[in-house]
Amino acid sequence: MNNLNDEKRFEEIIDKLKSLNKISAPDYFESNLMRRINQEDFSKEKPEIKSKFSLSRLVPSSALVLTTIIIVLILQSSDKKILDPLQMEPKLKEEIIYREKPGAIPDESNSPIGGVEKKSTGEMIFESEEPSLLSAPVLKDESKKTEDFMPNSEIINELNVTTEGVTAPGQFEKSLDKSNLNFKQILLSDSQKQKIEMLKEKLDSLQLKKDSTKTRLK
Amino acid sequence: MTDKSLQELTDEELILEFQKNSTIRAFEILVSRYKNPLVNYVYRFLGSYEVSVDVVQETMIKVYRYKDSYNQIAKFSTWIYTIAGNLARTEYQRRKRKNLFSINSYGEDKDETFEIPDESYRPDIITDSGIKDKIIQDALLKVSPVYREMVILRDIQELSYEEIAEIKSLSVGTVKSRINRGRAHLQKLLKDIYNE
Repeated sequence: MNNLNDEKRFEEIIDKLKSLNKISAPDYFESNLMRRINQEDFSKEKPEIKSKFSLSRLVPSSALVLTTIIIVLILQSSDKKILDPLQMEPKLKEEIIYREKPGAIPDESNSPIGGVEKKSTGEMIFESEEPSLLSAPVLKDESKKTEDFMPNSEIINELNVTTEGVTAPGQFEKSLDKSNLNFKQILLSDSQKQKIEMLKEKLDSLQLKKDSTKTRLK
Repeated sequence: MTDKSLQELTDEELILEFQKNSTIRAFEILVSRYKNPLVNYVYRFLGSYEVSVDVVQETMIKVYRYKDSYNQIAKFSTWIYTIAGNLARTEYQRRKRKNLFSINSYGEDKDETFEIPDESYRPDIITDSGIKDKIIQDALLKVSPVYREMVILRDIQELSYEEIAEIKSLSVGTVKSRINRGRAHLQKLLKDIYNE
């Protein structure tokens, strides 16, 4: 029913279309067609197949694959945390903080310099038996670095401080020149010198007393 | 098989004969049966006679070359119309890209299609009936190709809705709808001519 309605609705236009002249093929159609078929090389199918895999066709696809691989690699690498050295918190030198005491020699290197081992305990001990290691040139170099160093009382007690130089107790008999020491030189005032003399005298007297008591006991 | 007996065969029997025995005569009979309807169909769709003849020749060559791909389940007419329709559409797109047909990109109204006049329809050559024919043809070419194809198959080639649906791989309902749309558009275009 719908078809008939449609046909009726467009009756006029349908009639016009049906009345159109029928277009025929030219007379030469068949001969031309057979000529084309005979001329047509049906082995062209092979090159068509080849052309499907030709370089020009493979280049875009391979480029796409390559791009995808690169993107995947970039995304994978970006997943790893990038440590920005500027945003990193500085590493705490736990060893130094733990062992160092206030007023101690800063630990610039682990190896003893010029026979002087700077221990983080703040004590300066002369371990080297070679006095040559304490020679002036080495100490001179280091003197700049340790300019701020202030020897504490313990060190003073251990060293034989004289007006001419410093000698380590027992181990070093060779006197040291003050100018060669790698710590800040202390210029003693007259009163300080007198006190030191007094202390020396006391030590001497104590030693004499010790010796006398020893002889008495014997 | 004699020529007479071959002439009596149906399209499907002829293509089968051509498939099995490569009987060139069977192919020639098929060409003679379909050359005119196909030229008419392609010409009404493209509007250029030389191009239409070329497209139909190409269709026949495809039938010759790919005879084995024909499936006996389908009607031969459906198969050959499908090939011709596809080639015609390809040619239409190719020519459209080259601006051989339409210059609507230069028109003020984008929906309107301006056709370049075909030299074969020069007024000094065509007759009165030819003038009407040309007007209808021009109007037909202004219809969207999707609807135009349907209208040609139905109202010019006089194929059934079912056949058109099979050729276009569409449902019958869609085919009817498209045909009516095409007709309506064509009627609108030809309204002024009818009044005259």
